[in-house]
Amino acid sequence: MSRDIQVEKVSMVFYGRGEPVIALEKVDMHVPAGQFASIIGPSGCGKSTLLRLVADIARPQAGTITLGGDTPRAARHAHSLGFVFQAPTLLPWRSVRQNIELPLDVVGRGSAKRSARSSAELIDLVGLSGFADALPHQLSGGMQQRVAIARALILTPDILLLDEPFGALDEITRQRMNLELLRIWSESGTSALLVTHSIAEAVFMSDRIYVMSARPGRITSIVDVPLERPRRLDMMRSSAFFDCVNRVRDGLFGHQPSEAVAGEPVEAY
Amino acid sequence: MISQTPRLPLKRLMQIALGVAIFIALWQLTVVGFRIPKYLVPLPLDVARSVRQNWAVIAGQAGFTLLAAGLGLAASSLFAVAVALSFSMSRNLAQASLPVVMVFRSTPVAAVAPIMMLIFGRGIGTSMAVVTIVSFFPMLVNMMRGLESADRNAAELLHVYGASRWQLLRFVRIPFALPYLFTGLRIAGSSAILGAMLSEWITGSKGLGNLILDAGEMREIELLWAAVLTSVAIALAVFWTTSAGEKRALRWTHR
Amino acid sequence: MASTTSLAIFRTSWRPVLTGLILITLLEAAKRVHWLPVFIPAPSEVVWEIWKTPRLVTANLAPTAWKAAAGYGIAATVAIAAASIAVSLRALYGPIYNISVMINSVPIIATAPLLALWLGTGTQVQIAIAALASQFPMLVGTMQGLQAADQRQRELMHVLSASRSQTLRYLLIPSALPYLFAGLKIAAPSAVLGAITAEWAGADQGVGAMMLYALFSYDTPKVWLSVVLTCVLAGAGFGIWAAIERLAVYWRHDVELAD
Repeated sequence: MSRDIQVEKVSMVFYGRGEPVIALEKVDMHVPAGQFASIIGPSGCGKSTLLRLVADIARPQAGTITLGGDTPRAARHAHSLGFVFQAPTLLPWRSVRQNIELPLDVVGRGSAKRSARSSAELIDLVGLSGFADALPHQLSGGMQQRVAIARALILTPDILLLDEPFGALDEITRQRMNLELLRIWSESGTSALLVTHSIAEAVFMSDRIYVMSARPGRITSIVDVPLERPRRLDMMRSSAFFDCVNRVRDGLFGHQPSEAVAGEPVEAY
Repeated sequence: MISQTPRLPLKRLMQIALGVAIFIALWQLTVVGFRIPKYLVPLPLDVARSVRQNWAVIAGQAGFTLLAAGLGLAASSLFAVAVALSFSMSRNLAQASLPVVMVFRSTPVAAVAPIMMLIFGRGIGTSMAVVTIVSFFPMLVNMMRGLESADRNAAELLHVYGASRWQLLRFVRIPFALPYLFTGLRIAGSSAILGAMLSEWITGSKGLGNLILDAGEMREIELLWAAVLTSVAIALAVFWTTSAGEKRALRWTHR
Repeated sequence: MASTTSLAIFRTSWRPVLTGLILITLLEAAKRVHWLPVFIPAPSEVVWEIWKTPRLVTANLAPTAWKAAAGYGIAATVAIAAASIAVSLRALYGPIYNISVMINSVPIIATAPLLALWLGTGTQVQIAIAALASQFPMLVGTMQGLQAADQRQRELMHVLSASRSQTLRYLLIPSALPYLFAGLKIAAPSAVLGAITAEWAGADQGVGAMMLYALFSYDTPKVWLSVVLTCVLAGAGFGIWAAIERLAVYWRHDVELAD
């Protein structure tokens, strides 16, 4: 089961000391149900803010967001959202299995509202068989993040939201995790929205990429990725892949490569 | 010529005076407002009267406590400086002595005082010894930090001029360590006063501590409060003097 | 699991225990050949005191332990309650913390005689002093603990649509435990020392009273015995909580309380 994501003319302003910061300015985004979409942009362009608005962690000052027809708050209360943070954010006193089952504890195990997967199933799915009773401090960063992903999936969410989940990992682990995530996603059938600052990751994972610019946060271009699924690592050598990367890069840096870059550096391909 | 007159700014003095005045006013109001009986909390005026009447006794006893605390602090400073110097000369000595130093770290007065009384008897000597032991660790820590704090460049400069170890000590390391001496005194100061007074309880020797106990037993409430306030005032005075010394010394080393 | 814990305890403590035993043996030997000054008794003399009148130890250890425990318990209840209020009602945070600091800075010298006026001379004064002496670390520990959950973890609970009581139960309380236990652990010796020092101001039973009596009678072994009992009580209080902490806070071992 999956929901679509409709973001219409959403604006978000932060008031601190000094000038107010326009984090997002009239942003539009339409992700069909079941799709894998990415948001990419330089640091501070508002991509994380946008994700958090979809997750109902914050509310926009203007514009509307509907998830499968419901407001983000309704979707959150219906436990339709799964969120993976930048840092694994596991509870250190719970084992892997208990961390994954945390959403079940919150919802109430007796509740028949959601058809939950079993934690054992998910532990196998994310490739952590045998670690069910381990404590977070015994796991590597990549393993902890996999637990976080499993936790986000246990209530079979309609939308999976990921905020630069692999940012802290090295390149090799990250590519492996990308493949893992795609596998998990295709088996679960949810919609997915990934925030990243890696062009390669965005192209590899997504059906559609939203390219953002900073100050004010706006979507400057949308890149559709025609590569077939399931994605394979060797696709990264294809000219179609390269073409997508270039289109994303153009969206980020503008058409003149010799121009000074506005905004902050983005990890290039 | 720039004159370095120590500025105890008028503003600061007035702030302190205001604070004291507010304190006294609140005291008076609380006693009267809550109808607290005089045998529990006397009025400020009564305490002031007691101070005036018993001024000689209070001052005398305070003198004993200050003497014990002062001598104890001086002794522990000397020991701390000596030990810190030898630690800075020899790493091995420092490492080997670590467990012994740790023993001094958390010596409660309740355990030290009786032992000192066995050794030094009932007089002021015990109070001195207790203060010395209890202040040793903070003084040592600060002196060690002080000796290490010498500016690298200054030390190297003297080295280039062929200065001996002792000259290095005298011209560079000791001046740099001086502020830390005051820091240590500031930290150890109030617990020194306290330690001295607690020792007086257990030895029965003269001092503010015993004045407080005796006044309590004789139900001379105003005197009791007067003595307690005196001890608080002394502790604050010690704190401010050592802080001022610290700031002065810091100014000299241009930090 | 129990066997590995006892093994771990053995591993960490055998060196100091051995050093202690060696020290005791050397002291004993030195005393026998009259190398030690008069004010340091042979360990055997101290043991003999216990053997001769075991009631000495029990009749004094128990009252002090009880007073310290009672004061500790009162302080713990009040401190934890006050800290919880301080954290939930921001307006009271500053005042509660400052009152605790002020109580902490008033020395026993001042509070014991004053409390004796109000409560009379009885065990109540010593219990009160023990409570006043131990409240600060418990308050600070609880306050720190209740604020220990970081922003991301709170957002996690929000995303999961957890209720307030669920957030309390699943996040705030477990994340507070390391700091809570650190505070409880540190406060235990303070309660013991407070009770003993309060006994110096007038008590007829207890380790502090025993200490005074022994000092007045120049009974060296008894004085040392009272010092040993002081350290044992303080150490036991700390040790018990350290052991409980190890069981309850099984996921980390490095908590330091901020001052």
